[in-house]
Amino acid sequence: MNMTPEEREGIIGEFLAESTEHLQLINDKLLEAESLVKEGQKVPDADLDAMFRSAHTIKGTASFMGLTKVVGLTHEAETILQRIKEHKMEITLEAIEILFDGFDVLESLLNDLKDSNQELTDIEESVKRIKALLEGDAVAPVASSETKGETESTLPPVESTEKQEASQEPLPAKSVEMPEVSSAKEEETNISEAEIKNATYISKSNINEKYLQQYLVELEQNIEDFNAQLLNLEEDNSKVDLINNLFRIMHTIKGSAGIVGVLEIQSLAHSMENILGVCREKGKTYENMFTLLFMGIDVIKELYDSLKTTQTVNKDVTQLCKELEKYYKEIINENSSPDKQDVLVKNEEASAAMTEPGLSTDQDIKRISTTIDISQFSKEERKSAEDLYKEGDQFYQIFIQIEGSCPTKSMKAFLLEEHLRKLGTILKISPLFESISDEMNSEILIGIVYASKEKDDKIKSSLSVEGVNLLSFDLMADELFSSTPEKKESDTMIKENSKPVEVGAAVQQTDVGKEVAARAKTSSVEISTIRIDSQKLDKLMNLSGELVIVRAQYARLVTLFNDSLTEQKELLRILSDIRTKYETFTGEYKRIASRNGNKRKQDEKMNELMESLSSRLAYLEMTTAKSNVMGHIHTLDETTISLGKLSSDIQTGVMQTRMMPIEGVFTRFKRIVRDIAKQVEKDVSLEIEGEDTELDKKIVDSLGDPLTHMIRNAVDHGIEDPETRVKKGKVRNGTVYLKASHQGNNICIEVGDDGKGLDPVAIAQSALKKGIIAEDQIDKMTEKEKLNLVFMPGFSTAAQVTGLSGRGVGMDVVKSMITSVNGVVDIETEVDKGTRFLMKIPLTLAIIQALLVVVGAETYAIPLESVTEIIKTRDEDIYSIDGNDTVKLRDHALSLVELEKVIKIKGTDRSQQKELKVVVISDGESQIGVAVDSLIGEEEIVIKSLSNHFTEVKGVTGASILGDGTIALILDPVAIIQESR
Amino acid sequence: MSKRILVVDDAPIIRLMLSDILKFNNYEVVGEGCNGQEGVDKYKELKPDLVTMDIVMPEKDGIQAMTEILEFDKNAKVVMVTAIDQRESLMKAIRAGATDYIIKPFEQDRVLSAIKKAFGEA
Amino acid sequence: MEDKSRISKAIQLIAQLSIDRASQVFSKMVKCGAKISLEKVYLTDITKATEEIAIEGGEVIGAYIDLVGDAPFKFLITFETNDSLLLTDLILQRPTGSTKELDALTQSAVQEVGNILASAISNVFSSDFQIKMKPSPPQVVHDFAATLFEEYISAIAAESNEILIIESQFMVVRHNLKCAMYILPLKGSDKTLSYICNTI
Repeated sequence: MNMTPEEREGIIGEFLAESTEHLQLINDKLLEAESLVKEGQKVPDADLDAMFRSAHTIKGTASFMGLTKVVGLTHEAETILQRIKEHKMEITLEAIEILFDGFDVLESLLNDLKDSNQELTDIEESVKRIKALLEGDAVAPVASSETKGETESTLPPVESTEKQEASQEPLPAKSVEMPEVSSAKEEETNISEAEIKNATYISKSNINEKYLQQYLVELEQNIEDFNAQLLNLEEDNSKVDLINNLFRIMHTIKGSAGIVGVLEIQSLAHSMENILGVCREKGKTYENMFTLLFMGIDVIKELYDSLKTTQTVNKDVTQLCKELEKYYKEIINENSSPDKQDVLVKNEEASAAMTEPGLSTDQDIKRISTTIDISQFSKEERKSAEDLYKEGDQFYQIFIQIEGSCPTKSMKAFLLEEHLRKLGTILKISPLFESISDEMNSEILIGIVYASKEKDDKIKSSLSVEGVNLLSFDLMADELFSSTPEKKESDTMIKENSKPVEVGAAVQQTDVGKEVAARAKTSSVEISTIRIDSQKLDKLMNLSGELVIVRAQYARLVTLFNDSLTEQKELLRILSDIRTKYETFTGEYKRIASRNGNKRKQDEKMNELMESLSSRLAYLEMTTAKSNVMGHIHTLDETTISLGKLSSDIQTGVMQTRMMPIEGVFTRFKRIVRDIAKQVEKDVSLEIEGEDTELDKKIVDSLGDPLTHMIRNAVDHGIEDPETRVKKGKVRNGTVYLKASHQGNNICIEVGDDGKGLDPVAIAQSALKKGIIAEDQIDKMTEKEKLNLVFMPGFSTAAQVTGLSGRGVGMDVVKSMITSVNGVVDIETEVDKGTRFLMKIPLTLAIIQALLVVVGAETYAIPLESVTEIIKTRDEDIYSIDGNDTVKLRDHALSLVELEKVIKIKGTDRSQQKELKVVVISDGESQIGVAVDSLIGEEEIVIKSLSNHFTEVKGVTGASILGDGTIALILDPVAIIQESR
Repeated sequence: MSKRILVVDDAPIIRLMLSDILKFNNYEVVGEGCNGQEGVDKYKELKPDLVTMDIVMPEKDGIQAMTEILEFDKNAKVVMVTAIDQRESLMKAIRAGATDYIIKPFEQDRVLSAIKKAFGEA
Repeated sequence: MEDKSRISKAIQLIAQLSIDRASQVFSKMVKCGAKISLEKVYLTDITKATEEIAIEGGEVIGAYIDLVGDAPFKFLITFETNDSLLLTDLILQRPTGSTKELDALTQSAVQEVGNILASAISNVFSSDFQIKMKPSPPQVVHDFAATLFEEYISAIAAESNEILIIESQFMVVRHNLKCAMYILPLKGSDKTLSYICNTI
């Protein structure tokens, strides 16, 4: 390659950055693939494609640069991926293991290039293994013994699939009550085998492209909601209102799928809906349904992924649908009577049992009653109620049940509403007739708050309608409606006091506020929302940042004007002085003139002149003093302050639009914990706190992977298996917790567990073994520093690399992801007690408070957060320790450093300086003093990130445009401290 | 004293079925109408306690007839008996003042239940 | 099925749904299972229509109903005269053989079946496809099948040379009762159907 060393270095830099990203993607996808294969599911083609493409890209660039080892390795890896993609080869756990190994070596090669510009790591081993795999006689028992209870890898691919899936712990097969399902699973195995043998599945759908994107957006949300609620329901079977929600979500998924033409999703959703329908009707859940439903939603998610990336469906779902249908028929026939089978009706609804009146539980009534709770009335509703009260209306709380067998339930509801309206006013009714579905054969419960002057009998008889049963009809206490909104407190009081007497027995209104607020969260509250493209918000954020800069410019103008104002004041003073002196002068002159007799003519002229000059001076003084400039500047100043406040508010406002509760990220973890815990046979539960803490969407998005990794770690490595825990005297059930909270301008997120903790010594040893640190460094390290070794690339203490986590590419990626959003992560641990990872991430990504300093004639910005203090030291106070300049700061030693020595910037010759200005910065742990030439002051600055070419520059995290147009580079205190060691 | 009912439908077979059910349950069928106009006329003439009314009929449809009957007697009990279960049609009938409605083909029990409830019985 | 290519899948789907619903409703009326024994959707030349349609000769009692709305069509059901007696018995839940005369009652049985089936079909259109339609009062006729049919399709004949016919026959199993049902989309409605179905 005929490049200059500089050119090569530059290109290598880019190559490394790109390849690191690709490698990360590959690792993530491999992790996912691994867990999919373990669960006996198919790895989506899209993922295989992505991995292949990434490997291919790396190979391409590497070949251009003559990096033979990289090329060799990626080529082999690429081949495996290709074969798997084309279904010429099985994606076994063993294959994944070999791929992981290969990519680890690749990463090591990349690191070599980064550090020493050469390919050092040996690729022989890896290539050998890969080649062996490709040839079909797999090597390395190492791989299979590491993976938990898996296949004997000596068998040819096809059989290993079977065995693999058989030796899985397919949850349905475990359950005793359902032998059919496990046989169905065998069928599925056979089919999937066939699938793999044949060409890729060709979808039967005819997809309407126009609506697809919109549909996918909604589908994503629905899948998330479904998962969350299903988990909830699994935890607590008594939450039957969740069944309704789940049914409704699936119904929506089905309907929309039909419109867009995705038949596969439609049929899946239909089958799942059926099952949920039975649950809904019977008001209960079935133990075994959860696994099936989870399977179903996972497949729907797969289909979603496939649609998102390739706009086609890549999976045949007929088998799963059959299973779901089978299960549905089982649960539906639990109580059915024989003669129903005779009718040749295709309508499934007809086959469900008819429900009897009065089946609604107290719980249903409670649920509805919270929805029509008076304390939840809006202002208008309260007002209407008050007006009606004043007119002398009576208030009633009515509960009605529409029979399940009624075919036109929503119309019956409408009929009732009409009848009531003719006799009075409906203040609140739930559910609305429009939202009642006629489809399911379950009874509908309606709650109404009603006001009327008519007699009870008349009202009751208007509700006397076929198919409808009046459950309760109670008079409500008038006082509830007579009070004004401010008296809400006393309202609650009255309600509670009058509970037994006035309000119907079916309604228990305890602790109204909290309960209803909690319910309001889960029940279908109407919130008006708009979907916005996040790019638009980014733009807005940018603009609000620019506004801050403009404001800074204005502030500067004000300063400039003030300066000239000062000058002007000075001018005025001088003028005043001149005038005074002049007056004195004229006075003197007159005196002298009068003493010398009256030379009138000359005197007159002189007098005239003096008068004229005097009045001119007076005028000058007056106008100068009266100048409006001061007033204008004052106004400008005030306006600038308003502008500042406005821009600050806008900034906050825009920030908040991008804020979303971290809940979105947190809830999926419950699923992950559940899955992993099951897999590693541990008893682990996840506790979440502060899920409504809000943070910027970008941060939420980038947190997903790190948190996932940490949680996986916690479950896999942190929490001990149940026996060990008991032996240690701990509770059998391990806890992993996630906590989020606001602290000042930061978000604090904690991931912790009560597991075995981290042992700094063990970590240090392991790091030594991996060659991450040298022997002599260990002694110098503090415990904290040893713990922080886990964040080094290439690290893992797991005795068993289970493939779930601990691949050694994890925690360093986590740390870098957190630092990329300007956050910090800290570890707290105690052996056998547990571990805590604390992350602190600043809320505002783009705007920070900084200290502006000048070093070497350039302006730099230091994040104010990291500035502990500013000191002046004299030459005499500086002494040398270990070759480093140090100064005494109260009772400890503070290392001093010149920026030019630490990061490559232009410095100043300080040999002549007697006094040194030092800014003390801290990274949360250690402190260091940075010598600066001068201090400008504190400023709010907008961080503009530097383009990718600059990421290699240690110590600089961005740049900012100051009010006067100069550019200040933003320094990274953590890096500076690191580099100074 | 049995309650008096007027049955209005353009199909004799339906009138027959309804009459049978009503008579069997001790209601008195005081008259029959085979179209909307007849329905209105007979109502004014016989002043029954309740009238069952089909919607789709020649000469005048059931909804129109019901409206006129209600103008005549605002407390009239009118139970629609119809084959259409489309929302708009039902809402129209309900808004026009129907006491209740039954969808054809109907089950005996349902008819009976509707009549009973309209009379506030059980 | 002939000329399938010209009959959109959508129309076939609608036809199928309508016929399904009609058969359910029918079984409810006669209070025992009704099977669909024939179902065809096809385009044919007007002159050949009567030949094509599987009408067995003989007298029938039929009910015409016009469905008016967004996608208007003509609806016809026919029963053989003897069968209509049986039909009346079934509906009234009388022992078979009770009805002996072809009187107004029998005719109204056919009429009402027509009404209810046509309504059921229009309900399908309305609820599943948002195509609003309502039946008009039925017209009962008693004639030879072929004649009946000529009249039935003559409305279309004036407007086009080809007609689209949706045809089905039900069979009430226990009693061997046959019912033939025809749906004839009128001018403009096949366009409406296609439009609506194709944009779904």
